[in-house]
Amino acid sequence: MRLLSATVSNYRIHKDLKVTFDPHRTLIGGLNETGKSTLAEALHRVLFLRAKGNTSEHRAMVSTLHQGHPEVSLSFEGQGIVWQLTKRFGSSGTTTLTATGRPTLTGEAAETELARVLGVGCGLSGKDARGQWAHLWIWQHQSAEDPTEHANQQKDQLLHRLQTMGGAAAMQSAHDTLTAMRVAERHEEIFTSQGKPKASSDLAKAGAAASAALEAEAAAAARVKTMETEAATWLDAGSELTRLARDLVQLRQQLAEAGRQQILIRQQQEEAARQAQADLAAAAALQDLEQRESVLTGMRQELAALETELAPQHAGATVLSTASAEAQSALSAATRSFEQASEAAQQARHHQDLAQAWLAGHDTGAALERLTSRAAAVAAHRVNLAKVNQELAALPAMDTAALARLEKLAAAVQSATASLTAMAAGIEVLAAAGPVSLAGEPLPPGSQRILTDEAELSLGTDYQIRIRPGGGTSLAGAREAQRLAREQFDAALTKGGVVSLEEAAATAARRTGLLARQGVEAASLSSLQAESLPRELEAAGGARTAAMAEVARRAAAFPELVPPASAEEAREVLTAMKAALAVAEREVARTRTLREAAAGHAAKSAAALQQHEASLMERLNRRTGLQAKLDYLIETHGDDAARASALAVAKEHRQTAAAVLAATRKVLDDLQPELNGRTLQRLQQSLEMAAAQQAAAETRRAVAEDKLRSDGSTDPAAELALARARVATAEDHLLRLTRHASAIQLLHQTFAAEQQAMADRFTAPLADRISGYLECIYGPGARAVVQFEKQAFAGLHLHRPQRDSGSLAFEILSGGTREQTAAAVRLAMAEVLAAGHDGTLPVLFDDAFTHSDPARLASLQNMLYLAAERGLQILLLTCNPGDYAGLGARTVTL
Amino acid sequence: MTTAFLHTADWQLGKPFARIADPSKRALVQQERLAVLDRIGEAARSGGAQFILVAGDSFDSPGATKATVAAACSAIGRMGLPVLAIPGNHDHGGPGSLWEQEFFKRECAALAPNFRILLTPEPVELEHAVIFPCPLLRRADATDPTAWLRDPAAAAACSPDKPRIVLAHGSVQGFGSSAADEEEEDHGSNRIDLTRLPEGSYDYIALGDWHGTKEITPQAWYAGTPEPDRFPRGESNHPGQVLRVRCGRGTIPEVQPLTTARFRWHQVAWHFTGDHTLTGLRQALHECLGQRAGQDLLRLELRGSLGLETGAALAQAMESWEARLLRLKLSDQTLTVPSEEELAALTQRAGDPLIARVATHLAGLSVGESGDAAIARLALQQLHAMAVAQGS
Repeated sequence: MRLLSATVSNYRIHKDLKVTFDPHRTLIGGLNETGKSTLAEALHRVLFLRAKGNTSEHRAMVSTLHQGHPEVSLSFEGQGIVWQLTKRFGSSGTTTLTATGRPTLTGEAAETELARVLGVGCGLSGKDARGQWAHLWIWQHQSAEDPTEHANQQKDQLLHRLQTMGGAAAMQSAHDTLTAMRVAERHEEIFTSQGKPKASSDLAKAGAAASAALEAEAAAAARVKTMETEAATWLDAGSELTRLARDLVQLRQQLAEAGRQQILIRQQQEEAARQAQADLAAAAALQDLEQRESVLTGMRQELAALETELAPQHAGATVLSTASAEAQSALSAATRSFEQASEAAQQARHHQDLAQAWLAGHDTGAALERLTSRAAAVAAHRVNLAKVNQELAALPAMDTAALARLEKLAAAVQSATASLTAMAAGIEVLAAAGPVSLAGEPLPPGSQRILTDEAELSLGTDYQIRIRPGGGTSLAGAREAQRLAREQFDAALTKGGVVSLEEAAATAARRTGLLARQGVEAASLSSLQAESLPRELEAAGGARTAAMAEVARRAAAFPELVPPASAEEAREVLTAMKAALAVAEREVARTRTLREAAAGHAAKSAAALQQHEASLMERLNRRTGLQAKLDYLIETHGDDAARASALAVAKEHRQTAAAVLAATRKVLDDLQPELNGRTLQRLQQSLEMAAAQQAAAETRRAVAEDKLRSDGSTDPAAELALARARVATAEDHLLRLTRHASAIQLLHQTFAAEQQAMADRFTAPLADRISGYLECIYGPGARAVVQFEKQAFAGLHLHRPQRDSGSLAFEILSGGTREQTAAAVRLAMAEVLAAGHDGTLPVLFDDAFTHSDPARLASLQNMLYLAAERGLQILLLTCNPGDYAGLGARTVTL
Repeated sequence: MTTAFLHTADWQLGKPFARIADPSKRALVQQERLAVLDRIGEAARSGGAQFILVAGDSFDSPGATKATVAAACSAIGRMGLPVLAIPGNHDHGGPGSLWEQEFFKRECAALAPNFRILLTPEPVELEHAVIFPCPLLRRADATDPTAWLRDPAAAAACSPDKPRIVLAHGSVQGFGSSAADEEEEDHGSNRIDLTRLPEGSYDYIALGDWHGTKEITPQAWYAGTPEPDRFPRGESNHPGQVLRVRCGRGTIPEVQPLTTARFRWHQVAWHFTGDHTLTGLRQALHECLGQRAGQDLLRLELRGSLGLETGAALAQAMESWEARLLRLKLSDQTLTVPSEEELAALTQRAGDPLIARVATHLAGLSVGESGDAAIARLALQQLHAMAVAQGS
């Protein structure tokens, strides 16, 4: 089927558009709103929309610009015949279909024949018609949509063509489908969608049963093991009891022997204790005697030593006493010298204070005189200042600033007067035969007047002349300005208290001179500190009075001293007094040092004497005490001979007791009491331990016996055998079901794989063609995959080997790539379907590549060119026909 | 002086027969082990036996249930003759054993006063014979239970003219019950060395443990179990008997085996060499089982390969055999692979290309002995069942 030409009349924008199509490539260009999409729609409607009707599609094509029903005529080839189709759309629409050598068909007959030629349903209207050949008519803004939807709309024809192209053998039969469904159902009964056994499946139940059987087996085995363990425990406990009984007999025999040994040891220990006590008593008596002798000897030695020490100590006491007396005498002399020096220094200090008072008296007197003379000067300056102030007060209030303002106002008067005079008319009577008057004022010859205002000039009685000075209204303004300037000047004179500018200048000069004098007087007063002068006078008077009182007080103590006559003399006296005081104070310091040294020496001498006397007294007391003790001891315990005899007897007693004790201890050592004690302890502990072990073993045996006592309800061994058999049965069952499930799974997977392989084979012709187009754009190896699953085309993917992005689903491609891929799929579908339409079909693209970049547009032209070469008729509508200059298409410009 | 007695052993009363999945069938087999005691009593009485010796393993475990104990005592009591037994490795003495349980002692006194369990290795002098018991007091004992008989003094105090009979349980020269079958764990080895017994000291040695009747020496015999409890272990194994013995002091004993078994334990191995050989198996089994049901146990080992449909027929036949048998222990190594026709019916389906492709793929995977190949064969069976057998 191929479009040859079309005429579109009264169709929206188009009044009468005629277009002739190239058999292969037609490029229809035009600016926006020139009717490209309308043309595409008109071509579609004439083919598929019933002419008669009032659907929204019919109403939409009515023109608001042109009268008449929308009408489209189309010449096309179909079924090997050139057809002429004309449709006038509307409620009373008509259809005419003609072909050379065939009767003209109209109305329903024409619609029916047209549908047959196009291979679509007959009498389509509205929405159904709009969806026809959607794979061939790529409407504006729909070029990036997934074209597999359109493929499914043409599914029957596509399947028919694909089968014809070699895919017939790959079509599964109904029995294939039924069997695959049976396998899928079996698989679904067993497995989840994730391939895991379903909880409700026999396989999962068998797995659970096998696990439960294993647990039961473990429990049964544990019970048997427990019984065996308890039996072993019982036997072990029995063996242990036998051994313990034997051990207990031996231990008791050993304990009895050790007990007998212990009695013997205890007897020897008691004897040794008694002997040790006697030995201790003898030793104590001997020690008492020896200690007493030792004390006596010590006391005698100590007395002799004290006597030796006392003789030199007596001599030393005399020497120390003499030295102390001398030191005390030296201290008294030094103290007197110090007191004399202190008194002289005190006298000198009073003299100095008196000299200071004299000087102060002279100084305060001089200060008072200076202040008095300053007060006289201040009074003179104040008189002068008062005079100047009086003169200033008598002057008019004209200062330098006021004078400047007055001069400025005088200049203004002068300026205004000059302006007025320049505008005014001048009248000068040179000669007059009769009376001349101006504004009633006679003007004699030779008189002159300046007219600044309108005035009447009378020349005798015959002539009355009105004279208007020049300047118009400006004259009045100048006159007013001059009047105002004069008034201001006069007001300023009055305010300044002067009558003329000259007087004002003289007055201002006088004021300036007086102000200068006033400043000089004020400065003099300021320099004399006139303000603070009364306070200073009062203070100086007070100081003078106080100084004179101090002089009187201090001079009374020294009537012999003559007061200085002047301040200079007073200073000299003060200097002399200060020197005398310094000498006296140095003497005080020197005598103080001497007195302190003498005091230290006297204190040391007294302390040494006191210490020596205390030591001497202590020794004397000790000698007296010792002698008394010695005498008492000899009196109590006898003389030296008696004591020596008693000591010899005590030594003999001590030796005898020690020998007896040593013999007994030797016997005891031979009996090894400690070892025997440990043996007794060890045997006792062993017996206790063995008894405890015996009790524990009996308990263990009793417990084991109790546990082994069967209630007879079950046989653990038989239960274990049954549990094991159940495990074997469950595992056999599980294995069988697992193998069955594996077989079903394998079958299911194989079906899926083979179905996929068949589907791939089925869609291969379509995929090959798509790939051919895609390679034009994306280079070698580019291919698209379209799957045919569940009787539908789906899963369009693009694969480009130049990119390592793998296979990408159509939905995630960019807008431009989607346009291009969709176009390739549409072209491929058209190519497959074209075999049923004389080998060609029109494919119309309405602004279908708006997202494609310039480089891709160039590649696209290759793809479109290839499609045309393969027999398709390409109609490309674009607002940028220049982009497709390389397509080699017939160009129609709207 | 001579004596006549019945020598038996390995009753193993209370044996669970856990591998028999059907509880009612399991109960039948268990019950038969008690029923045989009546046949033993009858054999003893009819043969003029003065007593019955049980050479160990009267019970299957030392923890037999009260029901088993009561039933056993009742059956022993019905024998009407003195029954002397020693504990074997299954029902060994010692702590916790049933011989120590109050219930056993009570039931024995009430129902089987003729029963005497010999728990100590010391001579027991009867009116016509002296019994030398060698009881096992634990499951496995490294000590030879007959060791005490090596001392000539062991029999010194016994009557010199009474026949001396040893009653022992254990393994002699490799005959023993260790690792007997899949139901039993190893009950340990209790070795008996008869060669170390003093020459001529004992006139008959009544042995237990080996489940088939076996003559070790003219004086030493295994009686075997009176009712078989496992599949045959060889041609020379003869279970299901008791021994009627007549002996005197210093003479060779007369020993006569008597059959007491009721249930039959069969073992059949079959190799399929084609679908037609299923018929041969049917005949072979018919020869074994006849028209009986509930009286036979079969261990069936299958090898070879069958087609899918014949494999399904075998599975169907197996259902029948399993129902008739008390137990079918099946070891099925048969390869169920499609025949050429069956495979062609799957792979050469011009109208069903998907099934054909799947079948072809699975057929390729099913070659060989690997686990994956076995799964592929199973998958082919399933496909055959769904695509061919069920049809469209």
